[in-house]
This record gives sequence, C-alpha cells and structure tokens, in this order.
Amino acid sequence: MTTNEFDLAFERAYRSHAADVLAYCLRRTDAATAEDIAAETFTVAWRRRAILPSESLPWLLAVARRVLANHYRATKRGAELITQLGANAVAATQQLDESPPVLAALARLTEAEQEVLLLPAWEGLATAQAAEVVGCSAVAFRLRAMRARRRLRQALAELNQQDEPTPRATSTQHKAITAKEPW
Amino acid sequence: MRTPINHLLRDVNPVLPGRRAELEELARSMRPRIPVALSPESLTASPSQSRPRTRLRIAIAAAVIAALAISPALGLPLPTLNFGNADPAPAKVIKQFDALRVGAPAGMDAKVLADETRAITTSMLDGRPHTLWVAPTTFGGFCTLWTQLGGGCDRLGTTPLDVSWGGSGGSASGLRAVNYLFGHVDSDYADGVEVRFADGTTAQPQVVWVSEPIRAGFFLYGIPEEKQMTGAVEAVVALSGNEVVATSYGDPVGHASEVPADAIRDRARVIARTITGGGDAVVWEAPSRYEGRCAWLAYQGRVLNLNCYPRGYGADGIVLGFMPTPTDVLVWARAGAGATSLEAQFNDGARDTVAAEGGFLLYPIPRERLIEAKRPTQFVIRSTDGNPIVTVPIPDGRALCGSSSPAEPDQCPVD
Repeated sequence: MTTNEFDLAFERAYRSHAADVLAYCLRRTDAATAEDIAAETFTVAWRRRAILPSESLPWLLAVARRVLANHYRATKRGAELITQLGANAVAATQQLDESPPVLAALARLTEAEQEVLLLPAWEGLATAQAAEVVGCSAVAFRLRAMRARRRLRQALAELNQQDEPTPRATSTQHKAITAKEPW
Repeated sequence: MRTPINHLLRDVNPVLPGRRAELEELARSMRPRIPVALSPESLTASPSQSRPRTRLRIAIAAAVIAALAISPALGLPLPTLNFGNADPAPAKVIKQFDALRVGAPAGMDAKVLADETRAITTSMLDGRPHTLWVAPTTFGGFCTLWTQLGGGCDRLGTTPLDVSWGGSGGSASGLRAVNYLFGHVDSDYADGVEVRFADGTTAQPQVVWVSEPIRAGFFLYGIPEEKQMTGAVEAVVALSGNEVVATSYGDPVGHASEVPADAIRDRARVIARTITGGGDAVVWEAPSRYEGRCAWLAYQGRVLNLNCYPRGYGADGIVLGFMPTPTDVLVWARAGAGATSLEAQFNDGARDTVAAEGGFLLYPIPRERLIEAKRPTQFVIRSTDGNPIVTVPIPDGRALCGSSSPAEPDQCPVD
C-alpha cells in the first residue's frame, strides 16, 4: 500500500469506528477522560496506520484498552476503575431500579473477568473479535467467559445472601431479588 | 444466543447502542484532536468548518508558497503546505522535540509526537538561515522550533495568535531593542498577520500556512533597523479579512489598564461583584473573537486587564493581586484549583473571610485597616475543605500597592 492508501485505511477506520471506540471508553471512565483516551487511541492508530487491519474494530479496542490501563496506572486510580464502571453505568442508564446488583457483583470480578463478559455484552463483539481485543484465541476466550460467568453468578448469590438478614425489604433488596430471577 | 448473564449485563450497559448518532456527533467534535490529514469529504462534517474564515490576500503568501507543495485538499481557501508531504525531521531534531516530554509537570505535557516532526520552511534573518520544525501533539495542537531562535507548544491548537519577541539588551524591564519576532496564527480564526508600528505604519510578514493536523500559519519577521527601538512595534495582530481577531502587544504592561482588546465587549456580563465604600468592584467576562474568554476588573473608574484565554485553556492556577486607588485597596484573586475562600489576617489578630463568586475572590480592605497597626499581614486562599492552598504574606503596607497594580506609587492609600 502507498502512504495515501494507509491514510485512506485510517480514515475508513475512523469513520466506521470512532463512535464505537468512544462508547467503549465512555463505558469505562468519565466523559472527559473517555474523549482523551479515544483521541489517544486514534493517535496510536494513525502512527501505526501501515499495520492497521482491514477489520479494525478489535484492534482499536485493544489499543483503547491498553491506553485506558496506562491512564489508570499513571493516575494511580486503578482501584477506582471498578467503582467508576458502576457509577457510570447507573448515571448513564438512569435505571436505578433495574439490576444494579449485577454491577455490584461485576465489581467483585477482576478486570480481565469483567472484560470477557462486557466485550460481547456491551460492545456487541463476536467471540473471535473479543478474543482479539484481549489477546487470546477464541477457544481460550470461551473458557474465560465461562469461568467469568460462573464467578459473576457466585458474586450475585453472595450479594443476595448479604441482603437477606434485613427484616424489612428495601427497594435495594427488591432490586437484588429481581436480579436473581433469571438464574 | 442471548444468555441470562448477557441479558443482565446488557440491561446495565451505560452507553446503549441507541445513542450511536449522539456518539458520532461527539466523535466529530473530537476529530480536530486527531492528528491526521483528513480528506475534504470528511472535513465537510467538521464543526470547525463553520467558523468564519475569509480569503487570504494571495499576493502576500504567493512568494513564499511558490516553493512549497501546494495542497488544496483541505478545502482551506489558502495556499497551504501539506504537512504530510513535508520533509521529515532528522533524528537530532526529533530528539529535541522528544525532550519536551521529559519532566513536564502533570497535565502540562503537550504530548508532542516527536517522530512526526516536519520541516516547514527556511527563512533568512540577518543573512542567516533559520528552519522551522513543527510536530503535532496528541491533543490536536503542535510544537514548534525555529533553529537558533526558539519555539514553544500550543498543545490544543486553539491559540489564535502567538508571538515571540527577540532582541538584545534584555533586562528586568524588558528588551532595549526588538530585532525580530516570530510566531503562528490559527487558520481557523484568521487569514493574515500584520505588524503595527507606533508611527502608524504597518507591515505584513510572510506567512506559511500548514494543513491538518497543524492548521496554522507561521511567520518570522526581521524588524527594519529604524524601527527596532523599544516601543516602536506597538502590536502584532491576527486578521480575518480586515477585522482584528487577536492582538499581541509589544508592551503588554502598558495595556494592563485596558479592557482586553480581543474581548467582544457588547457581550460582556458580570461574573463577580462586591460592594465597597468606594463603589462596586466588578469582574466582567466576555467571549473573545476566537471562542475563548476574556476578563477584566473594573473598580472606581479603573480597569485591570485579567487577560484572555483561548478555547480549552484557562487560568487553572491561583493568581492574587491588589488594585489600589487613592482611597482604597481591593484584593482580587482568580479562584482556580479548587479555591473557594479568601481569608484576610490582620496585625491586630482580626480575621475576615470572603467566598468565591464566578471564579473570583474579591475583598475590599476596610479603610480603617489601611494603617500599620491594623493592616493585613497575610492572605490565605482555602479549598472547600478549609485547607490552605496559597498563603501570601504582606511584609509591609506598601506591598498592597505593588507594581502589578495600575496605581501610581504616590496614590497608595496605606499609611
């Protein structure tokens, strides 16, 4: 490919996936940081446009994931990631009465476990694409996802148990019970 | 197949797929921050295209541009050097740009993309060639370096006009002679640069306009020998057509008592006010002609220029100053960095506190406290939780009539 072709490939990737990358970042951090991370992601993509794959979304999300991780390392706020995740989710969806226990349960999982669950659920990625984002084979990804689902179920069950001793049902407990029903 | 777990997780997705149009709009506004030469088609959707931009007087630039690769691809109505086609910098220059990242305080790193540095132009000054090197930053701005002259960074790429003044006889009071000046002008807001001399004459430096991701014009101007004395250059202005968009004064201190020239005054609004025995002290804020904000303080018929900031930049730090008049002293401070209150501590042990309003702290020192026995000894700026952020000791009463204020020394009201 010539330089111009690389530029065009980059531009195609930008047009097609800028919103996806931004959404990925917004799901994981505050709006201002999300824009910075998305901009940084496309800066990396531009500098490496010669190796940008034609199916670029998993590659871009993998870059965004690393940039985000670097950001948290740099700001020493790694521990806040999970909290932020839950807070963003509640604020953005404004569904305080729908399933917040799943976020609390999610927060008990490792970042890697969260990612294998959220890439298909939130980003809408197929297994092969999600595997590319986290850097493993599709088979390994399925195994990880299975383990993560099991861990999430356990975490949800633990949370529900913690809620049970309270004598009067509060709205939070009601939500927890609602969340348990699909299991 | 949708599993129950996935179902649950999708229900708490903080950015639902239905928001795609909104996200695409947001991504477009993010686009100027992406350092890449975008095609005319993609630029059509860029919000920055709606900014007023008028045609460059072609004749000014033609001589310079003729030797450069001309790219109309941007859609800019200007002959423009395509940054992507400019010569890459050698390793020695890249190293210099890379050094800009080292040791930068948190939040101050321009995030320059040193290995994307390009040679923009070479200009002669006093018979010597000087090459301009420019590198983009991650934030959509750029850093510059004129060999043997200097440079700097506009990390966001929103500064409408930046001028560096070079000369000889440097001292605390400034340069004795200004021999040359260089800088850049943002092509989103302006299409020309003019040097204005105190004798009413003007000169138009040659400007080299550069494409995305830089979107700016660069100039180096050697001042004619007969106009090199201090004060001869009154200002450099960025022009959009015949309209002045931004101003850089040769002697900024001389204009400290004026409403900022770049402010759109008929859109000014009051953002802070305090009532004093000598009349109201008012902080005004107005938009600038380049999407920034300007502020000034008006008190007892006097004005203190609190400067203009380009889009994205602001006075994040804390600045504290005094504005004395023949009868009063007003203490003012920009309440950046989480500052919420100003406490005055006096010689007789008394204390007084005011809260921030509109990003400013205004405190008129009571007239009865402008004597040695009762004068302020210290000002403390505090955060929301009451912790001191900045402490400014006042060693003697005359310090309240410091050089940063527009009062004459003999007008200081402090005994």
